[in-house]
This record gives sequence, structure tokens and C-alpha cells, in this order.
Amino acid sequence: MPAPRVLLLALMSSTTDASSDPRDPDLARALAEGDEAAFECFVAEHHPSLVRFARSLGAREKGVVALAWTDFIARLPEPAPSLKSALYRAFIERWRQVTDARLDEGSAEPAVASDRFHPTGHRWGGWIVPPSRFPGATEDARRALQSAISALPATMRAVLLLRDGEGLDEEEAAFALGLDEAAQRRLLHLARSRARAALEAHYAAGGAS
Amino acid sequence: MSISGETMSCREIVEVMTEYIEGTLDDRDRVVFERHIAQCPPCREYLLQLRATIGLVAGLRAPLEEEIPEDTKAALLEAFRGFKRSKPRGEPDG
Repeated sequence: MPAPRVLLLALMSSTTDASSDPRDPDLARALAEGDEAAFECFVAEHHPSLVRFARSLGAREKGVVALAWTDFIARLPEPAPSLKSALYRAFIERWRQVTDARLDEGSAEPAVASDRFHPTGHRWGGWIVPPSRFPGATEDARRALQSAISALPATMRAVLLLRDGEGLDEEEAAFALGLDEAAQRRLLHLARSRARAALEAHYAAGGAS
Repeated sequence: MSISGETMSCREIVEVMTEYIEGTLDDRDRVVFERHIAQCPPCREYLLQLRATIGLVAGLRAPLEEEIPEDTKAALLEAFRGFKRSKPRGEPDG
């Protein structure tokens, strides 16, 4: 008696669970099977953004990116939220070997300096110096922001650039950084807070023009 | 970060802004957060500042290089062929 179609499909899917990209299992399967055309498409899609990410981190990108690709290929088809996140993880692991990135940077730091608020116990604990609307972005503001990002501790800079620069989602960024999602979110919060504070300081110093 | 009470101070609100933007506050905390934001112009302004900052960070991205150098493409493809040789077709797990 022939196996029911549903059973065959279940067996087929169980043999392809080695996919390293649940979001694009066909591509993951093709790469795992050595499909060169699929690999060239993947390179064309992700190499330029990986190079851009590396440069924005300040990495000596050429050697680190090449090593990251080698590691990524060697690990196929390691499970990951996405192939893209596996590539970025390979890069970040190599980058950590040549930088001072740590995972616990600034973890106890408040988003806003405590002297901006009334003391604890005040009825609302509200703002003493409330924030005001940012004027439109200027080249000076962009430079101030760029400078603030460059001054961030390495892992904080990486999470900000992965999330708000390269558009990785929370799960992908956490995997790429080797963090759990809550720790990733905490670092992202601190990085965004510092970037916001730098813009606020820029505008407060008359940088609106 | 979890919100314990029915209200939050401004100091607490700014600490959960990223969770709110990310959509990771639970329903109860989101209601408390949104109630505070609706009644607190400074915190509303802070949220706008944070969203503007996120947009500006995205805007800092350099343009992508249109072409990957041929020698880079060749080196990557060669590395991939090495992987292919080491993992026979049909045995992706190696």
C-alpha cells in the first residue's frame, strides 16, 4: 500500500529540518546542498550590506568580512533565525576577536540622567527639564549623531547599527550578537538613549541651524 | 523591564520606551504606558525624540556598493566549492 501523501510530505520535511533559515527554507536547503547559483545570489544580496556594517563599526573590514564568510560557509546549515543573522553572527564573532567588545556595557545606566527628574517620592517623579521637539535634521545634526554612535561602546554600537541601521529584527540581532533577546533589547535601549541624548545636546547648544 | 503598578513615573516611562517601540510590553503594561503618554506632554515629546533618533540612525547608512569586486566574488565562490566538496550532495548535515 503506497504511503499517504501527507506522510510522504512529513517525511520529506523531516529530512530538510536541517534548514538554517526557517524564513527561507528553500534557500537554506539550496546552500546546504552546494547550489552555487543560490550562493552567488546570497552573496550579491548580503555582502555589500555586511561590508557597510563592518565599515560603520570601524572594523578593518576586508579581512574580518572574508573570515566571516569562511566561518559562515563552514557552519552551513547551522540552525539560526535566518541565514542573514548567521552571516552577521560569524562576522561579529570575528570582529570581537579584534576589538574590546564586551556584553555587559552600561547595563545599569539610566536612559536619562536622574537630575532631569524630580526626586523619587515626588508626586509624579516628573521632568524638571522637559524634552522639547527636535528641529529638522541638518548635516550638523547627522554629524553629531555619527560622532555619538562612534563613541558608543562596541557592542552597543553593533546592536544599534544592526537594528536601526541594517534592519535586523530583534531575534536576528540577538542571535548575531550571541545575546538573549532581553539583553539585546537592553543594550539597544541604552544605545538609542545615548544617541538621543547626543542629538538633544547638539540642538540645545544651538545646532538647529 | 516590567511595570508593577497602575501608574508609572516619567523616570520609569523613559526606561520602557524601547520595549514599547519594539512591541514587547505586555498588554497591561502597554495600557499603563499609553495612559501616561496621553497625559504627559514631556514624555510624549521624549517618545517623538526617540523615534526621530531611530529614523536619523537609519538615514546615516552609507549607500551600498553596487558591484562586488570580481576577486572577492571568486574567493567566496571558491570557499563555497570547498564546502561543497567536503559535504556530499544529499548529506547537508555532514
